Amino acid sequence: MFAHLHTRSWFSFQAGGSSPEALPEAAVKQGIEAVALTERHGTYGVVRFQRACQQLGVQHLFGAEVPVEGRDLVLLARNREGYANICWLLTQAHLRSREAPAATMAELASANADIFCLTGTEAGPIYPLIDDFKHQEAAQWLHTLHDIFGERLSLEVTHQRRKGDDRRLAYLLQLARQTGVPPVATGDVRFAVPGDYWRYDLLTCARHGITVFDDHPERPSNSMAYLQAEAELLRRGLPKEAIHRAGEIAQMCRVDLIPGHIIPPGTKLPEGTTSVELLKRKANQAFEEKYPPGSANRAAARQRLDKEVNVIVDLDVQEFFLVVKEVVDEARRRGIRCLGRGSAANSIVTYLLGITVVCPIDHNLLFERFLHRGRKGTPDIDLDFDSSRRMEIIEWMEERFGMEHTGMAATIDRYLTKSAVQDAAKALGWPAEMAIQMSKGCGHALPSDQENAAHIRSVAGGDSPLLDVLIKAATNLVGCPRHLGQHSGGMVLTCEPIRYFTPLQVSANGVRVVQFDKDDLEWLGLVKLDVLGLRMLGTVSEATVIANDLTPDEDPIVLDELPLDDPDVYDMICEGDVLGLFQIESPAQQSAGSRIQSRNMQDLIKQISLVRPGPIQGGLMHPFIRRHRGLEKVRYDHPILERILEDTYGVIIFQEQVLEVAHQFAGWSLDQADSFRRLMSKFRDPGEMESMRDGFVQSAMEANDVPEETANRVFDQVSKFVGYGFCRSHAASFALTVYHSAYLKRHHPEAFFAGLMQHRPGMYAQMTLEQDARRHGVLVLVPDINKSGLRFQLEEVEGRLAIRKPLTSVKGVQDSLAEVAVLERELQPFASLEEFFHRIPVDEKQLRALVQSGAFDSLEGSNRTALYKMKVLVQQFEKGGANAQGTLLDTINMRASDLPALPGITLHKRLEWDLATHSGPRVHPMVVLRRRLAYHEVRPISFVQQFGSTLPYDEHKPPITTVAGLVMFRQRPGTAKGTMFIFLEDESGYIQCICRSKCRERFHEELKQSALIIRGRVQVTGPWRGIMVDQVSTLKGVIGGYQGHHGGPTYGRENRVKVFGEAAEQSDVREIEVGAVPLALLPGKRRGGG
Amino acid sequence: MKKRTIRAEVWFDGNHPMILQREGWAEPIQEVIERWDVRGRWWATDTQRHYMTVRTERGTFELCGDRSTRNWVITVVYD
Repeated sequence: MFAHLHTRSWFSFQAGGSSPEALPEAAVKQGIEAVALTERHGTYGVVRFQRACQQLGVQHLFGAEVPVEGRDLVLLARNREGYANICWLLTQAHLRSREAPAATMAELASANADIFCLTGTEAGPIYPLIDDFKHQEAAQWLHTLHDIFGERLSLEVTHQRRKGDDRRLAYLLQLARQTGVPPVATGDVRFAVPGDYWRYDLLTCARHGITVFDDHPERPSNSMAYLQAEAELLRRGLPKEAIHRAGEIAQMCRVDLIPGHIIPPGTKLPEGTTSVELLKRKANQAFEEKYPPGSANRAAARQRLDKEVNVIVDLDVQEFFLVVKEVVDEARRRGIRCLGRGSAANSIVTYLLGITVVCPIDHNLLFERFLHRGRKGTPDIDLDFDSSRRMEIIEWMEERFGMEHTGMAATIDRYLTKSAVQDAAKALGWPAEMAIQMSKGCGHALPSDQENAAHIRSVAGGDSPLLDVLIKAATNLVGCPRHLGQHSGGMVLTCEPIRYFTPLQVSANGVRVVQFDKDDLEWLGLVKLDVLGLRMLGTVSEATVIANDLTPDEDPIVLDELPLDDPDVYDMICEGDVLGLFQIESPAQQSAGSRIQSRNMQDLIKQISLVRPGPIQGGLMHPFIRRHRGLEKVRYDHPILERILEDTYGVIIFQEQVLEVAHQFAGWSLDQADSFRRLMSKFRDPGEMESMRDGFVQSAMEANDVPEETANRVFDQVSKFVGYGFCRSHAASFALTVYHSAYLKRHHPEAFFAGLMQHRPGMYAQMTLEQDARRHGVLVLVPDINKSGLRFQLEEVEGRLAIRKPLTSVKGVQDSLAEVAVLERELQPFASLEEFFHRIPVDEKQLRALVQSGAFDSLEGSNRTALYKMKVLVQQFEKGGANAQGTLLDTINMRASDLPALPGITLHKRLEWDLATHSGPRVHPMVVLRRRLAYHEVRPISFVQQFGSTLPYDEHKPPITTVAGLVMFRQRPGTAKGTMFIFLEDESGYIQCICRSKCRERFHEELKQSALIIRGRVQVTGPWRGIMVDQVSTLKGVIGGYQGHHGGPTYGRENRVKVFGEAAEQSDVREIEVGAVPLALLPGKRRGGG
Repeated sequence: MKKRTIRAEVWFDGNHPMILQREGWAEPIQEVIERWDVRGRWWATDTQRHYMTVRTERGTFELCGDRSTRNWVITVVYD
């Protein structure tokens, strides 16, 4: 029997040309009974490889090309211990160096047990020495390896019909005879079949950044590195005993990585207690607290608890729940706010264990969405933590479970259309800029898709035959792994040391990462706990602490004990005053929220879930809102649907509803229904769902005697939910944090805005947050060298609370400088800039930033004075050199008479510095232009708010108005059919401007700018106001504003603005100087008085 | 060693090259020193070229050709 002992798949990341599944397929065709997967520097593809081998009846072996002191040895695992040793060696190699991983010979010697060692090929230690005629050194290497591996060492021989292979083979066989190390024949396989040779060559070019026209020693000169049959190897001259040895080694190796069940990490169990007993005890204890005798849901909760515990125990995952509880308890012990969410919130067990905070009985949540007997793999529990303290929890977990038992999950970044086109184009010789252009214009479909192919050809121009090759090559690259990434928060916890499952390597940001993604981890039986950071949790935590500190004599606010029915909170949400609130602050949510008018938690849960791609694309939002407001009658196609969809007026909003429709209406098992639900979330439009229609309809007809027409109608409705939607439990968990944030904003705005500015969880710029704070009566004060701390904190000013910006908010000022300054100040406040410069080591750049931010205004009176002093001090210090200390003492405390007469700072310059240093001008930049804009009847945004209240509004004849402001951001959601939403802000407020696609095309260039004048029709819906855009003009010479991905910096010297009158054509446009120069005349729109 | 481009023909016995003919005359191949394959420009016209280094009475030559035909080229003449 022959076995291929040295093969790579494309999970060697651009160093292999075929999938791991293709290797056993090729083996079957070639009559090979055993194959070893030996990826380059890892074990990345082994799980998929084992599964494919088992399906095809091919024996699988595991190993890797392990880098040892600059050369790669091929190591094969005899058994699980051997596999663990290989993983350990790979870990040492990767931890030592990310760019050039390398284990040491000492490490190899210490971890050689149960490993067969092959000496490798070109990247190994022997081949290069043979090629350089250094036979003695080659022999020495073999002796060294033989001292470590003994009989388990083999000299790898291969032949790929390359120039020099004949000669090299002859010398290798001679070396084998000379040293007594037996030769073993391999194919040194890089791809499964000759047809994959081009992909391997292309990936090699991409990896080295070369083109197919360049030579490189790693490029294959022919297609012989495929998985060859034994006969072919014999024809190439490999000796029979070497081929036979490969089979011998294969027979001695047996490793199975797929256990078929979960292997949870160990939890701490009291003596004499099993994990099942502990789970039941903890759940029952909490049950008595949360559902005391006499409580409304006690009976239902009891029934539910018993059912869930039975399922959990049957699946043998009770330890996992106990581990998660340990993590959550530790976070709470440390005062780190945490929230279990996602489908886990469907469970009463997680609720009782304190992992989630939503009662599933109250919210009618479906346990089976989270877990059921047919579901394989670890239950999916996501934990959100205060993002500023998430690392604390991760470090605690590493300590609690041991570094040997933890690692972060990986992701496999694969070629998508854009990256495939770009890499293929560069490899085929197109210039980099052109390759980027080709890729940028491609959509999600394959490169061979008509539109994408046409775009690629149009960029290239001409009709090169190479374009066909490019399109075909790029298409075949899509899906191929490109590199290993890091999962955003998935932490792997193992019972046995992690080396028994996977090597570790280091990510770009220094995190220890396993070599498998979540799917492979599930097959390995490993548990992954998602430990995610949520800045809003930090915000509400901090705001609560600040609010409680302000009122130490009152009962502290405990967020988790707040009643959830404060009408003031819901009033604020209904009025659209939602900036800074969790989940509902976006313009889309504001617009939807104003129509939904949420008055309780259930409404809030639905509001959060409605503004998602699934319901939006399906056109489900408007029917829901109309029925919720009583403007449309609710109908059900079938009584079963009424049970499922009653509380959402017959409209599908939640993933659980899809699951229940598939299960109860279509009669599918829970497993099938869950698969259906998962598949739906991957499609992009209802058309893609058509393949599932027949199965759904047929099943509904059989299971529930549903008429075919009805079943089709229901399928139409279900398919509209395609794309991502929330699950109810997830929305319920999130709704709690929405409420908390709203409660704090409504009742403790100073504390809320301080927490918000500290953690910045949302989508709005600092300037916008400060404006909103001011509208709520909260002043925001510039940094002050004697008053600012290291965080946003409250300060009393003229009898009211204001927020003082910290020194750390000044751009360019390092945290270390801020810490030293605050510490020094505690000893003695600074009396002058000179004294600060004397006491604190500070460079000119940071000092300038502090001065321009206004931090020294309270000491020096003005920035100009402070800047002047700063320049003098810095110059004297630089001149003084080693004797500077003496010089500084001489110049300290300059007198007023030392200062020349300095010009005042313009407001424009003041605001420019504010924005540049701490992102928050002391007045809104639009204030500078207001007078001149008013002259041309450009209104403040607050004016628009009056329509429908103090000013009349007729929706059939909406009033036209003109506003101007800074563009805070632009959005063009994929669900909006080309419409762009522009969020415009001035000193009086902000407004959403809706620019339909035709308008967007017409004013394409203007819309790229950061400050605009917009004219359009006012839109009113409840408390919400918007403008349907008709005309756009740029407003230059205004500092600040978000540049988005369109615009560039517009801190310009230009100070011209274009405005137009009500009936103006483009020809009526005049350029207006904004500044000291008098304005030019406009026809019909000039006010008297000039 | 001199690089050349001389048209030649090779006769095979099965897989083994027997006779080398060029410039009007033929001679037996005494030894096949080395053989290798090079796959050509897969992105253009994909080709598979076979190379041999052979020794005859008159010298040692590197040959390049297509195994499916008898058409070969002498690419190197070793001194």
